[in-house]
Amino acid sequence: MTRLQHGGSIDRDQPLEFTFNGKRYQGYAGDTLASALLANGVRLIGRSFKYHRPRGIVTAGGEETNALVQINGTADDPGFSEPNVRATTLKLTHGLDVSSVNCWPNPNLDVGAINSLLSPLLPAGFYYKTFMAGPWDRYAGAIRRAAGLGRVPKVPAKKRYERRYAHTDVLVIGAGPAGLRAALEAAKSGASVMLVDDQETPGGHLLDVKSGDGNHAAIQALAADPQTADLINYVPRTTATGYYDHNLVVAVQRQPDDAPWIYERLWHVRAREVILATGAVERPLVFVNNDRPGVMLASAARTYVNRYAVAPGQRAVFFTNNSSAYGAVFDLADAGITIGAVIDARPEPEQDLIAACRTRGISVYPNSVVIKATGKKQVAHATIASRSDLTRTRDEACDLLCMSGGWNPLVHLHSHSGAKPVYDERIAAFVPGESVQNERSVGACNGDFDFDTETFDIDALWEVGHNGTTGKAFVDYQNDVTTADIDLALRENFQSIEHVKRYTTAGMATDQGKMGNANVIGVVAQRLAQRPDDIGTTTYRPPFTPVSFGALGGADRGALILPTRNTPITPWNLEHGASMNEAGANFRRPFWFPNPGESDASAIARAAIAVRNGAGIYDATPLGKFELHGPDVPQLLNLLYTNRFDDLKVGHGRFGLMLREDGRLLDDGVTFRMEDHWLMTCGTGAASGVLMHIERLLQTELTHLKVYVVNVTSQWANICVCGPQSRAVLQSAGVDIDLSGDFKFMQMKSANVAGVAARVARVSYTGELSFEINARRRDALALWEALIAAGKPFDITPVGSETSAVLRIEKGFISAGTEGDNITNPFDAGLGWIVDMDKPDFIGKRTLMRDLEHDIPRQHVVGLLPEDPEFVVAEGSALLPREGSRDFQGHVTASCYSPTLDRPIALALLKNGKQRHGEEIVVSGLDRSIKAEVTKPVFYDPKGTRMRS
Amino acid sequence: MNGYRVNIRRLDDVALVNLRCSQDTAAQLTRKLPFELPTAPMRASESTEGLVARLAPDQWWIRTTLDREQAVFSSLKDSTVNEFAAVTIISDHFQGFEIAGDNIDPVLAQATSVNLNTLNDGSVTRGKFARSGGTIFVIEQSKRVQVFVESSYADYIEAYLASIAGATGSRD
Amino acid sequence: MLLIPCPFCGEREEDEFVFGGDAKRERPTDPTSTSTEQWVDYVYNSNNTKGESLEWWWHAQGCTKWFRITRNTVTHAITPESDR
Repeated sequence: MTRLQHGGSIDRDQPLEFTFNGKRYQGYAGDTLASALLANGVRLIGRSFKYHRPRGIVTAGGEETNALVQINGTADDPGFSEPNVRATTLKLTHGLDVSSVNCWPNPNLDVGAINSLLSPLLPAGFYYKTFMAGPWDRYAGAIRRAAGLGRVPKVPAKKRYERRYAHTDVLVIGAGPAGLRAALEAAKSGASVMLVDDQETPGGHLLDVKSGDGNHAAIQALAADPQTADLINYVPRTTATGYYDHNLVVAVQRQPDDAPWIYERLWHVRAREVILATGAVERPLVFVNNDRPGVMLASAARTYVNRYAVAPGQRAVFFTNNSSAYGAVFDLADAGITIGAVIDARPEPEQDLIAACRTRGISVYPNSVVIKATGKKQVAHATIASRSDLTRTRDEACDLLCMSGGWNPLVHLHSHSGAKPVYDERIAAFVPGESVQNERSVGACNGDFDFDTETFDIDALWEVGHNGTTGKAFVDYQNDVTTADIDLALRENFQSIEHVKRYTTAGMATDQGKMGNANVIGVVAQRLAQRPDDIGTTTYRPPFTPVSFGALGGADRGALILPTRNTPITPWNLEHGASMNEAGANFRRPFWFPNPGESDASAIARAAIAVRNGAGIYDATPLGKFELHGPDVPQLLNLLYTNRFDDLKVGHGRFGLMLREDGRLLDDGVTFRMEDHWLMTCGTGAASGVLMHIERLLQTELTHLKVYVVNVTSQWANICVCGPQSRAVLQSAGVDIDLSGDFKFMQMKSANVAGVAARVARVSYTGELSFEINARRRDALALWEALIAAGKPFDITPVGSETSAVLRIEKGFISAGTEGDNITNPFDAGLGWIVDMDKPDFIGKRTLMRDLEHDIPRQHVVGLLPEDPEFVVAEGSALLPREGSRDFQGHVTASCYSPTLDRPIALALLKNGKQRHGEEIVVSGLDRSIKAEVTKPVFYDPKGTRMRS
Repeated sequence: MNGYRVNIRRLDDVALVNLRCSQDTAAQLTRKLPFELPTAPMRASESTEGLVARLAPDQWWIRTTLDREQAVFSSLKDSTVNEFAAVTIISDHFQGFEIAGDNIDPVLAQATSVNLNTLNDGSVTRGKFARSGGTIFVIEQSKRVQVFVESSYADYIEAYLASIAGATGSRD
Repeated sequence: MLLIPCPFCGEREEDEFVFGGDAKRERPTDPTSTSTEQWVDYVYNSNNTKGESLEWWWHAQGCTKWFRITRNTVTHAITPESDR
């Protein structure tokens, strides 16, 4: 029986049932999965990544690298699946269902173990030198199946996640003794303090030593003091995963008590000062088969005994190079575990420690090492030798081999913050270097080790020399990296530590080298006859431990994944079965309105025909709208647009083209002059860019201009009634102004339409007679419904974005974002008529001057008439002189079936297009090539008489 | 018990008039108008019309009820007729929400990265809110705020607030 | 994610802002009289300083003001304009 009769902080009154690899076991509240498995005598947890070697539990904490499991379900969520979970940090709950990874059918009998035999073919970087015959696809499938450890969930989690922003004066990371002290000090000085810790209760490593220890009790008392509790915002079960610019720390909290419906909460903390009290983790020793189940860290064995009342073995051998392991030796011995031997690599261990061992009947062997562990799926004996003669070995039987190679301060967050760790010879470890941000490190993570009040002494031992013993000595367990791999990397001249890391993949697994990196650096240093400080560390990057995508996503998922925007007409669209889709600037718009059973193509064509021959109604609300106020507006508009605006009369609008300073198309729209201000409209997708462009000019360059810009995009809804019958529809709805004769194209008038106060403008994006009615958002839906009702006798048809695209292509109306790219200037796009080069200045003019000077071939906007009446060419298709040519001369920018012409048409950019009307060109898409005739870029009503009627 | 206990509702009788002018002009206007245009940054002051807020060095909002909208707009326009100023009704461009409860901070701290410690009674500020932007009026710190968002985002933000407040059924 | 000090609103997360580039660039007062070289340099080239960089930022989700800060492009240390 491996559960000890007494002790531990588990609750023996709360048994919990769980399933591992299909078998039922029992543990207690307070157990982790690892401690419960050990208590049940389960030591073989999984198989290693590459070689499929049997692996067990090495640690008792977050640095665990071997005992990874897959969660298959919990009591409250039986379908929940999560990969890469460390058994050592997984809190045991009733009904937990977990299984091993990377082995089949189970870790005991694993088919993949054959990889062990193939290991000479699978050293570090083998994939750089193999899989070269034939196409990669041949190997990809098999490699994908073999790679990775856990399985990706197939079903969305029922879990809920939260993102929380916090601001605090002081953030303390780690509630061990050093962190608690720092938090209390800061709180007493009046600062707001947030204290995060990844355990269930405060105390840090004191939770792992025997209770009753004086220090331990004092800290517990402090933490429980009600006076101090209020001063500190203590957040348990929280791992700080990243430290970013300006003292931003991101942390993940599991199962917050204040919100039981939340599975994980992602904290986004800005702190004036950060105090790192992250502690240190013990590191393994590097000897052959140091990865066998039963080989674990000395401090881990101690934790299992003291905290969980579990004996990880019955007969232990200890192998250490430092003084800290003796605390574990005594605690295990006092719990009744036989200690076969303490192998101390140091020539002169402390006399009082040796004496304390003798009192317990434990033999200590100084100046000795374990050169190999032996056992098939579990350690059975340790092979020991004296350092003065490694050839003379003896075997010591054991089912538990506890190793201590020293301690690694957890400097990851310090490193994330931009600082670089430095080597401290005194403790043979890397410690924080000079701070770059406002942070400091305290306690063990700062190299201030306090082990049972003994002074810490260590002889660095990066690798146990062996007398030619064959076998693998691991430096990185999770990625199966051995000392032989380091030798290989160095032989192939990958000598920088960054290269060694990437070539061998040491430190790149989910544990991010917490235990292994120091040993890698030490081995490399030895091989190159340098010091560890010369080798240096690789750059640690977030996350410190794996973070779930759920936590990163928070509430931004499902229907809320994108912040979609609606117009006041959206409810009507949804009620009338419109096919909705995401359009520009996050707006969700109707793409077409199918009648029951109607195909998309038919719906799109039907609405286009209605606009050309009768009446259509279209919601143009998303268009950007800005009010411009001030005496200098005309001057500003003259600068923004390529054409003049200062001569525009009140009550009139003018189409304007805006360029960027490099002469390329920025946006187009109609700007109106009102009584006491101007109203600019622009494309939906361009709106925020245009606003930024104008504000930037006004605030950073033309600071003398008196102009105010006010965004009224959502103040006004824009309902467009278009088509030859649109006048009749409006009159039928009731309008109090004369719509014929005097109301000219591009004018805007105030009017009452169907009882709603509005502004009516004669603007046309469809090429037909068209009235855009601007009404306040609050009135818009009622107005829309009134117009639909009034339009019934005229068969008024709602128009979606796909139809308005067809209509504009037929008319050859340029879309700045589609026909315009980084090369197209207005002359190329046939918009030369709107460019007034006589204006003293406008944004983009100087570049156009240069364009006009240079006689280089340019791409021009043209029309295309593809020869196949049944085939609509794909947008983006290449234009070639003949099939099979690689002389790319342009591409299709917009393409559709035109119901008005009853044939497919397209717009394109074509080299020297203006000179090539009438020529034949090949349009080459992914699926097929087709011939087309090059034409003028307008297919319908080229003089624009219909919209001016 | 699911959810943070907060009440979220749409504000339906709010009119907003936007004023752009220089600080000097604002000082002059304050003498002429029946309400004060606050000079402190990001503060709202009470008036007989409603709250008047300073949102930027040269921008104020005057809040009132819908039946007073035209009157406030006209009177502001008249007062600024000879000034370089812009007066605009923006009641429809924004949608207001009120979030209230014994402790609304757990919800606010999810919706916005603005430092809640700086949001004390009477403050008003614009910042990131529920994946878009919001103008936040603090009526009572940690207990009651009113937030104005661009109305095209209102449906999304209403659903988002319900979700982060811990309402069930809005997971997916 | 930087923390940017807006002169009106105070410190805010970077995603409330839009970066406006090198503040040392100035639009020529009379573009039509600049040489091609000068103009191309203005449009396409900007300084990419390693170290202290004076730059424009726009508080898009806040007060909508443009302002300048000095940012060290190596350490990201920010000096507000008023502190210079």
